[in-house]
Amino acid sequence: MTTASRATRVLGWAALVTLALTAWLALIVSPPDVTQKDAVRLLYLHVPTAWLAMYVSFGVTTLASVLYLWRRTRSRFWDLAAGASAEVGVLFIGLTLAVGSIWGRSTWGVWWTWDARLTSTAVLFVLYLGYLAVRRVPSDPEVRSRRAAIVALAAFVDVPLVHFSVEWWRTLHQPASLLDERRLFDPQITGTMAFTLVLGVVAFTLLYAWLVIHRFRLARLEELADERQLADALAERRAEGAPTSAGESAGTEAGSARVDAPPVEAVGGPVAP
Amino acid sequence: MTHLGYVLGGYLLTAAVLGGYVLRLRSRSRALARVTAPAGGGAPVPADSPPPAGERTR
Repeated sequence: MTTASRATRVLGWAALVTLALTAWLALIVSPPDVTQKDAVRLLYLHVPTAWLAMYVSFGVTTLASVLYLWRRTRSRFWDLAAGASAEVGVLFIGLTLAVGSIWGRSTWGVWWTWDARLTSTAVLFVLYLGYLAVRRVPSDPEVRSRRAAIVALAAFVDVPLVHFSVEWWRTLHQPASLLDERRLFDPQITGTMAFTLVLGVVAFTLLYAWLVIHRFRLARLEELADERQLADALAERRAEGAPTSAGESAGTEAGSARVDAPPVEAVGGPVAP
Repeated sequence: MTHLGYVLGGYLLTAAVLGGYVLRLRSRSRALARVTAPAGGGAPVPADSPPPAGERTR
């Protein structure tokens, strides 16, 4: 894999080992819940993916977008970082919704309900899908990046709504297990269950970092490929134009017909560095 | 379906989605590496390298 390096290999293995350990603890070692029984084991997937998507992925996207919009720090790096983090975030928020739906079917008896937490999370998913769509709109790269950065800032407004939805509205969804501001020193979950949950968060954070680095490097490769294609197209046009100048100097009819064609640089614009 | 059935379904779905995404990144990366590699082989040209002499325009 050309986007790999020694550091990403170490990171990838660390993510894989911690994920495997989390799965073992979650499925075999940790005890079933008193009321939810075995269904509680979905907590160790649902919470880390939600945490990663909402706070880490979309947080990084927002921060990178601000840095891109700010003239002093504007660079392609921040734009590509924002895009890479958002794509991984959409993947994780999609998993949050899917696993949450399975958990809801198991405990509430329904796959979906128009609950405040569920609905605001679905809206978040759609907003960031829209962000990814804006990034693909054919346009001048700088204009497109600026538009995407503004959309990212607008989309992030939904994150606090999702977070506080369980407090502001009456919902089926339970309140936060770990990140409840009022019970930071008196958590609802302890012992093996708490350890497994924290390990799951660490494992998914490592996985997020590994995925974002690869996605970022892939985006750089995509840009390089585009530049290569442009350079090839220009070289092709130059090759087509070569007999024209010969014909022109010889004063042939064919040569004088071809000389009306605009110069290659004027058609294709400057070659990207 | 029992609780464990839903739990296993959730874990398998997560593994499939994440695995699929990793494979997609991998195949795309390999395809682009071929496109961006120089004709004579060797490492891809860095994105910030200057264009060859004579290619710079305006």
